[in-house]
Amino acid sequence: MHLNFKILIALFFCTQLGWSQEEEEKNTGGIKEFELFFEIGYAQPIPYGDNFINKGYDLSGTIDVGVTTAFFYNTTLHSDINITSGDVTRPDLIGNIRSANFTRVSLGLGYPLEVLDRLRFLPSIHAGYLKIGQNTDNGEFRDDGIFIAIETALNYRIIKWIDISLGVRNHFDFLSIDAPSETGSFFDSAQSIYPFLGLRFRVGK
Amino acid sequence: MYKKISLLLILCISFLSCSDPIENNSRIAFELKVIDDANQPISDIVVNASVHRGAAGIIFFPVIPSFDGILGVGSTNDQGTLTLISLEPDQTVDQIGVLINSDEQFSGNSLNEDYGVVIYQLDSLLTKTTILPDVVLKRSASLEIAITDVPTMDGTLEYTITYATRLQQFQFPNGEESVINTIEGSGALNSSGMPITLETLQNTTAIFSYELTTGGETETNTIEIPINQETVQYAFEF
Repeated sequence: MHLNFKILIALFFCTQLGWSQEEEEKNTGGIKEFELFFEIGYAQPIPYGDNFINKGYDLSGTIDVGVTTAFFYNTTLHSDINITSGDVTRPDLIGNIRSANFTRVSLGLGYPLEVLDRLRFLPSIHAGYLKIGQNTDNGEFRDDGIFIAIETALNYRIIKWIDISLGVRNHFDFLSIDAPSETGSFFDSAQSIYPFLGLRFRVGK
Repeated sequence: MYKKISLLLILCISFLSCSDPIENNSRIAFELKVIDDANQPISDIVVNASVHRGAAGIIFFPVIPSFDGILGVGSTNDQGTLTLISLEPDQTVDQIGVLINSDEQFSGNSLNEDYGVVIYQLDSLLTKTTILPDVVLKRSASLEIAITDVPTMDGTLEYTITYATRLQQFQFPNGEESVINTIEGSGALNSSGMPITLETLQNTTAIFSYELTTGGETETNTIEIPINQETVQYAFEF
């Protein structure tokens, strides 16, 4: 399917949800009460593109831990931490590294849209710090940078204080690595998709 | 109290001096091409970037283990070329070596035994990418020498044999070369009478120099032994 058509469908979907949300808020009086969720989920990083993370590492699954609050109307504020480990598969491309730990700390903003009575669609945007702790046979060193991420998730309320979450987050990493010019953008930027499945516990209201 | 403060200070300095010898957020590259004596590219030759840091230390704690590590690995492609991506060593490193057909900084052991070893030694890095001269990797050869003391002949023998080792070292960018080894001896080379084998390189020349003293007269001579095939045998009797 053509990319523009996909974007058009997504925009139409979001707009419909937004309108239905607006109607809902008119009916319920608008302002929601403060909510606080503790989140934990399993994510599997899938890097892609011509970059050193995709070409050089075999990333393992990761546990993502975070907190989300609904603080202004329905707007949600997210904070989370995620640590992934990876074995190096191509030291000839990235330097003689044995393994690495990818630590992501991020803040984000989202806006939940009610699809059904118990089902919410929650798009959000995140920004954060990425630290890659590199382990070699001769010591450790660090590569780091920043990232932005776009996330879409579906949250289904199982019982009053537990939601189940299914979603995907797309990371766009911008690294600080000073590499030879011949490598182009290979070390400068990276992309990865994190599909995730998790639980949200309502711990405050 | 002063002892405690001194001990704490020394521990802090020790901790600082033990920092890992790799720069954060940095990569370097070495570009090279490996060819043989006939100027033909050689593929699948392993190349390593290695560093050596001499023993360091502080007062009262003089010995901190030296660092010998491989920071970059790669192998040549069908055209014999390679852009070797490496981690960047920090400023405490004494020497950086680009090891062609070896993974040991101070050894001539070949990974591909058909060829010798070339090592480029660099004292420092001037740019992110270091372009090395074309590497001429010579084929391995063996020189079998037999020096036999024949009982029916009189005389005493003193000799030296100078030959190219399988390890060729170059200082970059100066190009100084250190490739020879010399053994000295007297009398028969091997008491068992069997020839000894010296590991050398093809398209080089070994030099056999001797002084043979017979009845008070001394004869000196120098013989060039061309190493032009995989195994070269040379025999000398006195």
